Amino acid sequence: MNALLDRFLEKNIISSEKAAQILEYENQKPVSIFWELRSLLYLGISCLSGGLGILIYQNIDTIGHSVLIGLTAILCLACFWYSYKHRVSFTWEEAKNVSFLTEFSLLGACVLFLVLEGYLQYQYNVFGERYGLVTSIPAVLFFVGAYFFDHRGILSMAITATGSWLGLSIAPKNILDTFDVINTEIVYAGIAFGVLLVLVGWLSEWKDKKKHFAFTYYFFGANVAFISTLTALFSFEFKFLHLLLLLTMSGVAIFHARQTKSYLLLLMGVIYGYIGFTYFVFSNFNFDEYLFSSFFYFMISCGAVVYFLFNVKSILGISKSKNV
Amino acid sequence: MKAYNETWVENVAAKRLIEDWFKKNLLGQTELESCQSELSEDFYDPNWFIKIGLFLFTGIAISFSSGIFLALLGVGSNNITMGVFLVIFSVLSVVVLEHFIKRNKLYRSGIDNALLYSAIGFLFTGILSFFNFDLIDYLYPLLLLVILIPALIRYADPLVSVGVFFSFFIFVFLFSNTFSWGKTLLPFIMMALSATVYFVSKSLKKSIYYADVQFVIETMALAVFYLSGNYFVVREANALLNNQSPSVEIPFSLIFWIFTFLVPFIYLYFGARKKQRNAIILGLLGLGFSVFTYRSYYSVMPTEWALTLGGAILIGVSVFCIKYFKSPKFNLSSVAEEQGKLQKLESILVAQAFQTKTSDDTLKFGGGEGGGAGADGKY
Repeated sequence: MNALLDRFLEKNIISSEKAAQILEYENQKPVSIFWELRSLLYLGISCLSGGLGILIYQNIDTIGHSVLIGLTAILCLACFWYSYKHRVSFTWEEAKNVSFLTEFSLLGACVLFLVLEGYLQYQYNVFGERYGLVTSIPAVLFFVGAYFFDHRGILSMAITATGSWLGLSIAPKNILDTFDVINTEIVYAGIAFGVLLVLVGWLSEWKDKKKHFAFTYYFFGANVAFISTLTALFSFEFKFLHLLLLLTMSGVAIFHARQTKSYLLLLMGVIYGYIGFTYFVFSNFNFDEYLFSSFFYFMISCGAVVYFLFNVKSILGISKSKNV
Repeated sequence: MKAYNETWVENVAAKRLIEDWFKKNLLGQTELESCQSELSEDFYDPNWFIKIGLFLFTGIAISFSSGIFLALLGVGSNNITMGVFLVIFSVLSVVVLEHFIKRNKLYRSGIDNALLYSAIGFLFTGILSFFNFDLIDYLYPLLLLVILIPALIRYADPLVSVGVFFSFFIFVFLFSNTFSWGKTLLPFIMMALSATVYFVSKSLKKSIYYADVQFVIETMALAVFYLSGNYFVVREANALLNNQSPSVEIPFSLIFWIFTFLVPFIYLYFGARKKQRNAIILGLLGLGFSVFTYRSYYSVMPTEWALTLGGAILIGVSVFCIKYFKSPKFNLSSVAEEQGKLQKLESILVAQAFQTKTSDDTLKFGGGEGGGAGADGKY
């Protein structure tokens, strides 16, 4: 580092005061243990909740259900109240300077809410057979919380809750018992849900409303959409149509990288598209007799993918700027 | 001797420093630009996701292209022929690797990593098949070490350095086991060697080309030093080697108890003083493992109470530390260095972890989630 500074001094790129400043900064720069402490906190929370869970389970008869439910409800409300009290004012941008305690108490409140709801349903059957209601309440609550408090973790919990609400309201109840989870409605609903999530993510990026939520939407949406489409391709008729759908989605994902220069969707599109395409090829040609052609297929197709990924910027016409 | 353009590698590292200075307002825009033009490098440097994809698909392509020839040979062919082919593949991989590094300016781009690892794998299995896969156990890691060291020197790949480190220590472990005194002194041998490795690596001239590799090796040396002095590891390994079950008290147990509890604190202290993050993390992990070690032999309280109290203490300590280190003290700070990609990942991981946990507690609710899995797939 000193050599680097000397070199810049020599070429008169930086002044000697600047160099002294930089040296000073480097010498007293502290080590950031942000992630270490955060992991410790998560570990502590997991240990505490696990330990408490066992303790409560062992002593349920002496404590009593109503006391437990009351305590959970009070704790949950307290957490909500704390994060509400210390909230930063609402913004469509990424909120700055949210204190970690606010963040964690909101997370705790949401987890406690799930526990409370599940407990009420399990012990007292409060919601009866209306499972859709059980799952939609947390979904709505979490979405509101995620946007109001600007919390990405709650957003992904909200998306998951919506997913299970969707799975429940579509699947007739008996399917849950017969393990026949791959039925047409669920798979197509999954595709629609995934596409919808990706669209929401794209909208939030385009309209600049909570732009930093887009990654979460893309991650869940694309995975759900691709996996559902692959499932459809593997298990249903009209394989060619499903393949077309899959490849269209891959194409959109690749095109998206061109617009935004973010490559998560592109990688997913390439991998899922490759799996689907390979499955289609192998289900239509009998490679058993031509073992070598299957080897050549993988060699050539993987080579082509590598060529594509390597030259992705020039193929898609993205300007060659670094640090994307 | 070095496969990648060394000046470019240095410039990549220097650019990272400069960008940090720019973010901290120590450099102006014009200064940043003139510094950057001073540090020219032309490596192919794609996005991380692209690198993952390149690594994956290069790997598949290599295994199938070698598969063609191996299938031609047939499974039943003798080991010598197979060995010859494997060695040829290895040479081919290296030729392709060198060619791509030169022509396409690769530097840890996924393609070169995949080619390097498969070249090593081919050569290792190739040589083994000359010996009919029948060697004395400690010769396997020794052979791997002989292959890996030249690769490490030329390509300075972090994963190769992991391989070098482990094959060296596995060799030492297996070799000392062939002597009776080696068996007894094994923990001390391992500790002495890992300390030596650490200090030799520290004292070597810091060349930026090998900076990552040295960092990886030093971190692993610290880990092995702690583990080979840890009472639990020593006692259980001793029992395993002597076929005792359950394990019995070991000689010099006091020394190992001292090591078990002293070493993590030394790591934490020197990690903070010398600003070494790896020592701090290992100190924290080591402390946790030391508590586990103590609990394995002396029951203090039932598990559920230990979990509850331990969890409460952990939460208290970490909340206190986050507040306390907000303004930097003892070279430590609890403020994030940069906000960014890790946070995105954290939110997804954490939410999933907590969500599955609660659905286990609530039977009917959990059943619902399982049913949704067909549609939700990933959860």
